[in-house]
Amino acid sequence: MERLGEHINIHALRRFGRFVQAAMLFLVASGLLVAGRWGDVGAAKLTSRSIRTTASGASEGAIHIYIFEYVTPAAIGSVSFEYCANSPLTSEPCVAPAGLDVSSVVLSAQSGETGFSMHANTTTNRIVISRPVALVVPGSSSYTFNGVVNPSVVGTVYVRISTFASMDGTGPATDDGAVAFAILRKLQVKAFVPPYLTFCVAITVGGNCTTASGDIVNMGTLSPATASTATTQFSGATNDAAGYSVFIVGNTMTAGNHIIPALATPQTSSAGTNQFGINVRQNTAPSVGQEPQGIGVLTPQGGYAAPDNFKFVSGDLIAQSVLPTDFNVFTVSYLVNVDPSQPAGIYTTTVSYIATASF
Amino acid sequence: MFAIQTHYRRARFLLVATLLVLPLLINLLTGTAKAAQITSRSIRVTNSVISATSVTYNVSFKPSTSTGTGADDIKGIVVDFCGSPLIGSTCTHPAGLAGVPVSGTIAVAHTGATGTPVNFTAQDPAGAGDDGSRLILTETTGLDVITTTNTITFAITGITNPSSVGTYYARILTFNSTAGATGYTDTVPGTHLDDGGVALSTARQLTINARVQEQLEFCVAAIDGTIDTNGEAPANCSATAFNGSTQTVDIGIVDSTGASISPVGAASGGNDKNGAAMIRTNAVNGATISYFAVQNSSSGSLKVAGAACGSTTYGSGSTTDQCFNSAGATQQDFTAASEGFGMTSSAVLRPTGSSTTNLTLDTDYDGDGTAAGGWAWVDTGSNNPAETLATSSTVMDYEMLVLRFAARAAATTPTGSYSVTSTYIATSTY
Repeated sequence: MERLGEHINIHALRRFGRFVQAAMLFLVASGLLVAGRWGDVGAAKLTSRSIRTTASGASEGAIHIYIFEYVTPAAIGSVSFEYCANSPLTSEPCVAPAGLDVSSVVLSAQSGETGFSMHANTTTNRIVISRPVALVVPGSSSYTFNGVVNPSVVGTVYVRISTFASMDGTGPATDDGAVAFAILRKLQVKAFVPPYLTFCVAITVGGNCTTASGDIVNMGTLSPATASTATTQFSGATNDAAGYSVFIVGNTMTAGNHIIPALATPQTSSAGTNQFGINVRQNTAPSVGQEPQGIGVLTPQGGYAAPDNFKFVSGDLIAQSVLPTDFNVFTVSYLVNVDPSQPAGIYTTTVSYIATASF
Repeated sequence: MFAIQTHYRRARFLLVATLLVLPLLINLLTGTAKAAQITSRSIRVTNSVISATSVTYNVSFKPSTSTGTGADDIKGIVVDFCGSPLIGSTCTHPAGLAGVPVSGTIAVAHTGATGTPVNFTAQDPAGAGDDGSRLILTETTGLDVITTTNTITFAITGITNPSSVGTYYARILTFNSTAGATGYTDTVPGTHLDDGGVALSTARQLTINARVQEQLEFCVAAIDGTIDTNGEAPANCSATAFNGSTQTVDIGIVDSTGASISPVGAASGGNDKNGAAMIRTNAVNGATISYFAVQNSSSGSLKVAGAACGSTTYGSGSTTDQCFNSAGATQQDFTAASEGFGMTSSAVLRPTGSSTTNLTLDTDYDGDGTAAGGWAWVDTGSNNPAETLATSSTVMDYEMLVLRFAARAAATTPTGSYSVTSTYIATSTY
């Protein structure tokens, strides 16, 4: 019997052993245990969250405007805004950005969930606002803080936003989320405006001296019965604060030893009398010339400024601006009258116009 | 001698008695003297989570007894879910396990000669008392021509897993008669062809969490004026073009004959630079790039430092003060002979490897960089909010604005060195 019992036991053990060897354990699909998660366990993420700053320069004063949407309909008594240089993750230690100071900020505006005021737990890198605990209605809110002193180092700054049931920014967060802004260098644009004087002379000129044509004036056959006239033009502009002046330089009309005397003082035209003179106005007797054209402020000067009066003294100032001036076109009118006894000949002269500015 | 003979007789008696009793005892204790073990047996479940519903158990095994003789055709299959795999022992069904069918048909496939699945019928024998945790399949013709190398498979659908984590077992038995299968009980399984146990386990789920942190990279600098294609754009804000680069765009000598537009070469007094602003962010709601002009003597125009400014309105402002008239918020054409200063972005570049094209220029800053292309500049210094340059409505990989600057003097614009400083701001919404 003992042998029988022993035999049976052995047989049973062998069979179980074979079963264990042949059995297959299935651990299908997902496997093991629940892992951990980042941040406060159970804190929902604030949505549509942003920070807008009014200054992005290092160490500058700025206003920070936060906008975000509460998610959890829970009783909230405080909100914190923690500035970190290293990471937006609440699971990571927060390294305060160098130079940042929010300890003296003022909550200057709030909307959505309101009733908050600054809390004493505010530090140089963490703003805490507090209110009597009240139920939050999920939705958008904004908070404006004046008096932020930006970090002193260029780079990205993270702000961890958390809402709390407590009134002092302590305890587990109800909702949280992070935003980021950048501190960066500014961009400068430079330019140089040189001193300049633009001046042109010709028979005809364009208003901005882009065109100038003709340099020989033919006054035709001089007659004691009628005055002979002709015109040329000049134009100019300057950014000289004191403006610029135009001078006439040259001689009267001559033919060898024969001279048509120039008018040393302004005089009207007198046919049959030897006269050579100019002015820079529109004349009716004789009909010649036109008024200055353009937006410039160059003005006729001295004995050359009166219509129907003509003069020519080399070196005289004929036009001047005492301010920077844009272009305006001056028309110079030439008058020649001759005496009946004036000897025949080809009378000529060459005149120069000189523009001068002092910078 | 007598003593020896006595012992010999006793021993012989004992041996005979033992031989007579042994088979009887074996039969009494096991009742399965003929059953062999099914091999390659497995049950693959589609879900191991406790209390999961609509789970399918895919049963697979090879018989140890070949069919084909008629007497050994498999006409009944029992799958009994228990806390122990031992055939013939009391079966405690796993708490919460339910849904094992007791009616309907299940197609039993096999790799035998015919290869045609056979529909077995789920049974609910009177007195079974185990609805939902014991499968009894019968088929009058059964599986024929099945050898030990063939695999038998079928699926049990609609099962609800046990309600606690741990191991449980399935006892699988095959019968050569429908009565044998329907007569099965846990403690008296009856004569059957083959049997075997399979272990299963429920388990909890693994949850993996990860967090991608909020990202914002934003930088501004003066870059080489030759950079005007994606391939030439700096790779990121750490690139040499941004790091340590100058922050000044010099547009050289400005006069009234035409607009001076960056990049202006050294021959014209410039430094061959354009401005650039690069951004990268994973803010799902996008970002805005804006700027404002830093005020100098209450003006953010291009001016001589410290100079007082008259009106700086483009087209009508003073042209004799040491302050360029600003193009304003609306694009202006700089082909006209009018004093003006403005900015535009002639291109949005994406460096090699950038994967987005989401940054869009504001219409007032989308000129082509020519005098007629349009220029804008707000000199009020308004920064709450600042003037918008470009926006995106979603994330951005590195994207860069090429900032061009232009100025044209009037004939009366005073001589001097002019400058203006601007601040750029990126606002991301996560």
